Amino acid sequence: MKLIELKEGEKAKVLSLFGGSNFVCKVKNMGITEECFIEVLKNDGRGPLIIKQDGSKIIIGRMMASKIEVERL
Amino acid sequence: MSEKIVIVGHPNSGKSSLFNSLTGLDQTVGNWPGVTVEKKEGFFFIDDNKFEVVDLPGCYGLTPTSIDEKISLDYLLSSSPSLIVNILDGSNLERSFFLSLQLFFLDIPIIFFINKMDVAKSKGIKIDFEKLKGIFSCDIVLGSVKNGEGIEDLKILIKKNINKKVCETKYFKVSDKVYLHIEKISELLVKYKEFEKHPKFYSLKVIENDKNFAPSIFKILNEKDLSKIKSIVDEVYKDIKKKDFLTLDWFYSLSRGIVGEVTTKEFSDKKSLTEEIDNTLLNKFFSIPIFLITFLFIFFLTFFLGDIFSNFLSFLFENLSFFLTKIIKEGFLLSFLTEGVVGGIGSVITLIPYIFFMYIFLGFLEDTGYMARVVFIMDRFMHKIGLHGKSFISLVLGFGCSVPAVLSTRVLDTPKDRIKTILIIPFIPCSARLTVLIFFGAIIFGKWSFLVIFILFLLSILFAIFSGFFFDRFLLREKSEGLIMELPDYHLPTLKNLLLNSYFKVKDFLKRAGTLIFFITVIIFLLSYFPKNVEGGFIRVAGEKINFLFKPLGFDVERTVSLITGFFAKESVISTLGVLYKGEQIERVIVNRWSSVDGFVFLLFLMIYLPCIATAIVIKQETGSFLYLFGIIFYSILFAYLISFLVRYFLLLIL
Repeated sequence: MKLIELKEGEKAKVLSLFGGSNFVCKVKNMGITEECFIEVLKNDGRGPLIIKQDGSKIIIGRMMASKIEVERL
Repeated sequence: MSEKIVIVGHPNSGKSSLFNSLTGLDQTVGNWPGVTVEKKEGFFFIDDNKFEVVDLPGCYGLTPTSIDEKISLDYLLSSSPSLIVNILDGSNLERSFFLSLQLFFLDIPIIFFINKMDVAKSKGIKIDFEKLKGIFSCDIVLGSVKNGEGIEDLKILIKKNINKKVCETKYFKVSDKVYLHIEKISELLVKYKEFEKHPKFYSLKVIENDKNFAPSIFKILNEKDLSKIKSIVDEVYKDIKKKDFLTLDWFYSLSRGIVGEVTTKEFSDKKSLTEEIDNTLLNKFFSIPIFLITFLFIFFLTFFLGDIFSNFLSFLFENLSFFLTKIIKEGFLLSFLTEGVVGGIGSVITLIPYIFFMYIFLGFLEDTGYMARVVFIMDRFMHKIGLHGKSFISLVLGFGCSVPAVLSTRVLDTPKDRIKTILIIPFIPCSARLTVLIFFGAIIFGKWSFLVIFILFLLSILFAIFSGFFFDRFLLREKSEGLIMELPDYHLPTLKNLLLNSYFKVKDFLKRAGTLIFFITVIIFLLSYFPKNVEGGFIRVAGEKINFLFKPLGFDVERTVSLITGFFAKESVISTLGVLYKGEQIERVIVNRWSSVDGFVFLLFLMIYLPCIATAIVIKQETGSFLYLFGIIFYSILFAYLISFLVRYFLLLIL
């Protein structure tokens, strides 16, 4: 499933990133790498999501979040 | 000779605070060559040794995705500093080590300053210092810049470490597969002059297949080495299928491993204070009203406090003119001093309080972490004009001054996003334009001025939004890649940092705008004073020649001329009219000669037409093209004319 489909409070494992190398590099620089664990703190159904990864919180736009494949835990 | 050290850290690690506490007032804000990204340099003394320090723009890693990060990397590769002070966030070590591990590949001596230990403690994070020392062989200081902890220790270690040999991490020496391959490649690369300084870094880039580096590295290599290196790379990827930025995954897994080894965290189910606050501030329904109220309040405070100081300064300048009239009596020198010098410098200096307070408050929002929330809140609205939330910050800065706003677009990731944002900024009413509005508004509309100013203000914001749509539809249709950024925890900013940052912003403004406005005023004065036998001087003659163009808008010769000088700096519209309406009080002339429709249309035109010259220069620099600069000049004049024309005849019809 896509990251964008997760609801608030749900945890997931990142499976893969679909996009150009610039996108992949940007997302990985922020710590969202394949196999890492994330938690969705905010998903209002519109506007960006806020996710938690290790110690940091990350704002991610819906467009980018729809290119990240995850597995719900 | 002084030694050069650089501070490197990821955004929100407290980099600028560390820089400020090391250098205090001994810093200069300049530009990086070629680009107008702010370059902060300073110096400090330890005993009698002088150390130069450069504050590099924040970067997450050494694979740049924004201009900021590219600048940091280029500087590290080209300037060979004697020492890197790597600032880490003790409350978020995974992210910090990700950068630190990459920095080791540069073969530059390094020390760690682990900041925010107070925050880490409050989060229940414990760091095992001995274990950490066992992994990284460099010197490490634990501290907190905010409380001044660890700064003295850091200074002692800076002195000790300068010119020390490169240290390596034990972690890499453990037979790590990727690392062994990097070493093999760097043994080959080190023979080349181009790579001898940072062979491991270039090896890393080869394995990463970074498009910014790999092709140019391959070009330099001779055939034998090239095939050797290619076979090593193939070996790395032998058992792995995904190739994109493998090394970034590697660094993160190393980083997570180290964090697991050296820290313990108390488990707590309680929500952190930041999460509690965000529940309210980012609430689906309340976030927008709270945001609007916050910004209205800030604008109100800026202008309220700015007015007090600005009025005081105007009062001083009036008295200075009065004083000069008393001692010099009459003649060229008097006119030159009162109209040219005092008028010119005065108009700039009275603007400073507004700029100072604007930066204090915006700095406060930035430092507390609320600005990042604004990005979150505004993102979906910005999508309507093909941009994303980060651009909004630049647009907000535009209310202060367009120049730093244009510069701030450097944090945007793609050139398209930057150009679109840069083209909208000139239409955000800046504080210079607002001063002009307030000045004329008060004269023309008296007690209704507040309402009229508000309407003009709204009209120009509406036009900025319209321009956003326009550029998105017709010019740069490509969709923005989208938003990704870190959301920092809330924290209280220190007054020292706010004051220092605002002080340097004002100083920069004075340098940039001050000299320019002063020269324009002097030149306008001279042009209006000479030739002596012509009433109104040369400039009036020139104004009469082109006045027919502005007749349809109802502008007189003086206003036409002031529009030209307004291109150099918007505030100089006031001083130009002051100079041109010779001998009479500008207030009286305006009340007698301008109808309220005339005044309104003139102000409307002023809000939209032309970016000022300082903005024009940075637009050219940042977009790198005259096409965009001339495009925006043509676009703004065209629409200013059209809108003013329509509004004028509409108003004349209904009034």
